[in-house]
Amino acid sequence: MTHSPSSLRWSLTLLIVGLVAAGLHSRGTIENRFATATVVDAPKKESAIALFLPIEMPRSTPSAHASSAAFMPDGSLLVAWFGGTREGADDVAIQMARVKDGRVQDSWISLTCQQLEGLTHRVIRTLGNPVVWVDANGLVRLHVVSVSYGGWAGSSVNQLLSEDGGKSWSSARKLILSPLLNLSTLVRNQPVTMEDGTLGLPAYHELLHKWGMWVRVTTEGRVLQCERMPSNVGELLQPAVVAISASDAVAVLRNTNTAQPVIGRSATADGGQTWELMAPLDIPNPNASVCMIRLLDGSLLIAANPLASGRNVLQLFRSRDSGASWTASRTIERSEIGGEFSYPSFAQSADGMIYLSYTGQRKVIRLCAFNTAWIDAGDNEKAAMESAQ
Amino acid sequence: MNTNAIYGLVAQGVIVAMVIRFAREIFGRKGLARFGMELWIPAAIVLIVPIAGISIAQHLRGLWGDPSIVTFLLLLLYVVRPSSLPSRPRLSTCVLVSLFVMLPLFLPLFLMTPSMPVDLYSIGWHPTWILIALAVIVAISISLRTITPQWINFIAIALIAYSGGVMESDNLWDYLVDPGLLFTIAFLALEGVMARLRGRTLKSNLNT
Repeated sequence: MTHSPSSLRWSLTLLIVGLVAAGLHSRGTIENRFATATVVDAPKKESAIALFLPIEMPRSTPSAHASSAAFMPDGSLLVAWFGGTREGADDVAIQMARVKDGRVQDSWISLTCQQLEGLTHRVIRTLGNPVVWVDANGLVRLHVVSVSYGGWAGSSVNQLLSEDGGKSWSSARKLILSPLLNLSTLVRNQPVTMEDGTLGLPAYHELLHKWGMWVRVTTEGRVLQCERMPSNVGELLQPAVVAISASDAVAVLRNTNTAQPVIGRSATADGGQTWELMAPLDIPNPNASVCMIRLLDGSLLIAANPLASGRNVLQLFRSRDSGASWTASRTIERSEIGGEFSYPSFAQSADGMIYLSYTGQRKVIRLCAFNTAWIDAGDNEKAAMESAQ
Repeated sequence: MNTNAIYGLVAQGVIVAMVIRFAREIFGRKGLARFGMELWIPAAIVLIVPIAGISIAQHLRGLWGDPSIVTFLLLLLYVVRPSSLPSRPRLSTCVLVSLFVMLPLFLPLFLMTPSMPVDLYSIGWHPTWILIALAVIVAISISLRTITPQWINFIAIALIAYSGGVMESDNLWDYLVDPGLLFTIAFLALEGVMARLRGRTLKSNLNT
């Protein structure tokens, strides 16, 4: 192979420039520490009276699914879901509603396929699984799944910013998380705030194999890290992550393995840098989404469909030992076989009220609010009944 | 429109121009080819003309995403200055590129199970080891005289593009390699074979 020495010298100079520039661009280490809320014995404003309040949500499309909720700085709750004629249809849009004082104040179509096309400069055929996150300044970040061609296996995750409470979107960025054409990356549950202001986004992959992913992403949408969550009880996806301390977090995952249909569990002790597979929970899982929240008193709460098959029961489970053991708690919904109350999502207000949104029969999003006193009362009733037996 | 989108859309235009140029190589110069416009008119159409509300380039971008910088440079050279391309990549180049593409891109998806902890693609978010490996591979290749300055330039430009965040991805692998690179390398090898065959035919015609 012959070439002139001068051209080789020029190329090597360019390479050195490239290596130095790339090295500088990627320098620095990630701060792997969770921003954890301080645990309080009992929230000051929380009522000791058991409260449970169903909230009627708007129904504007024949199909509605996969809600996500987050609180705005003014105390109102922002709920997002995807709705259209059917899941996967090209008229599916991200719908939003704002809830305050137990009532829906406003609802609107927040993001359409055409709007996301304009923001990301690529064809978008359908949308799914919106996840909302609101910062202290009221800026709303939306992570939303989009499909250009094919089904959910061909999906990818986009991050968008809204400065007007979810009415309009800007700064859209497609998150490149998968090596082969960025196929099959999705989100379902809410991100965890990190100490350095970045987000830890639980995501998942479902082409050929399924696994959970832990994605560190800046609020501008720059991906800093993406780690796989291990799996051996089956094929686990849709992780729901809560931070226990600055370095520890627990994840519960939907299990697609019908031979061992229980909720999967993973944990990290180094701020999400590595994830260890833990023994699965003793809670059945019919290949259905699970959500988890750390309450103000430090206990953990799961909402899940605790059946080997079917999604016709939606029930709460609580852990007071950072997820090591769980006890069955209140049942939110129960219907005949064939019914569906699925894809739950939690949010807790500053006064301790817990809001749970979920899909009802794939047609409507349901929302209810309750407090820990209501959960405790149910637990006490159950314990009394068990002791009486 | 940001840099990521501009790069992605222009890259789709270059892909279309490459396909048309290749078709011209096979079917010969006809029609607009005599004016030298055959490559850029369709490329411009792809970038501008909308179908169902968005440009063809946006459809293509949704279909296969953005090519890596190295693939983009190869295709661009093929379109604008094919004489400066390596006419037939060496077998060692093909194997090296294939390994670079196969290891991080295909293995994690097709062969590795979720319980296997090694994910080479994830190294691309903190690419110190990739940069060291590139420096070593280039140094060895120069000493063995198996790499041309052109390939070094491709790698260098990809690294500079990475430092400038030209692509949507924040992973260095996506700047260096992509599945299309395998096809591009194979295509260039095929081009070389075709050129050699054409040369033989011309030679035999001259002899007769």
